[in-house]
Amino acid sequence: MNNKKNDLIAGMNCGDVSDHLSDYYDGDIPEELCSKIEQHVESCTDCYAVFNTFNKTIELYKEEAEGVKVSDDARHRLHTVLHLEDLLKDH
Amino acid sequence: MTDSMAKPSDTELIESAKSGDRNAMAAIVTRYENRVYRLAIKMVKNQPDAEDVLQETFITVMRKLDSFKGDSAFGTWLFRVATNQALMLLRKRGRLQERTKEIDTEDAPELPANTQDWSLNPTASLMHRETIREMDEAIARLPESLRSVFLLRDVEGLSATETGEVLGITIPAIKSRLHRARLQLREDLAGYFRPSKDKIAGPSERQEDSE
Repeated sequence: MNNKKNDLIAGMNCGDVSDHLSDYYDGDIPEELCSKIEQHVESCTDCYAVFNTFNKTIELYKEEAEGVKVSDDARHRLHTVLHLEDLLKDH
Repeated sequence: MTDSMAKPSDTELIESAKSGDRNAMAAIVTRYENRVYRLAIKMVKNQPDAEDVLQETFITVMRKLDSFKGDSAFGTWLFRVATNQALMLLRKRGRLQERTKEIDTEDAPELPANTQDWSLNPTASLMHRETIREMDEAIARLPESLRSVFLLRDVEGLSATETGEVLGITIPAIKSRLHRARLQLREDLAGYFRPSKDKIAGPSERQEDSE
């Protein structure tokens, strides 16, 4: 750890950075604030790690969800109950 | 093989389905069944219940299709029905612990505690069975009001506005809940990925590996 949590880097402390991680990820903040966050993160090892792992966490959940699919049996039951079984196609 | 014909939009499929086109109905189901199931299983946490939610969602949607006016996107409406079905089931099972009011008025989360950087590990190397189980457990530990926002926004890719429409809450509340959910999930995974767990290479080990 190369700084204290309340130290200001680029006019922000670590708490400020943490508070804005989602806004940064969603592109929901002004450019000037973006730049301050980036400057802080580049100079603070803890925030650098938190920033990266925050983004990675979201990426992992998105990636994992891609693999979740309804089973063939459940699909068949669904199409049957909707009287669409004759139109059921294989994925 | 490439698609030479553009796929019909949701609006086109809905219009055809309303006039009794069964192929259009089947196309709607095929387009959304995995997404509805995915939302359901992350909310209700077991396969049979998720399959029930899936069925009830599409039965409801097909029954009410004529009343769908297109004021919101079809997907938004569908996810609203699915979310309500999942919440009803959780309530029926006595597994819904609602503390929504407290969530929205709680102080900001504390600073992240785990500051190891495991993000450089390739996604493929992180995604093994045990990790996926841990990810599911971390989602399950979220309060319901945070979990549904995270699933709709980050997993299903709905906008903040669409998520607000599905859940009937304001955009500031969506943003606040999403941020809390993401921070909590990150913290949980960071705890899981700590180098001492020996599941993946920690920073010092990675450095040695790359030499």
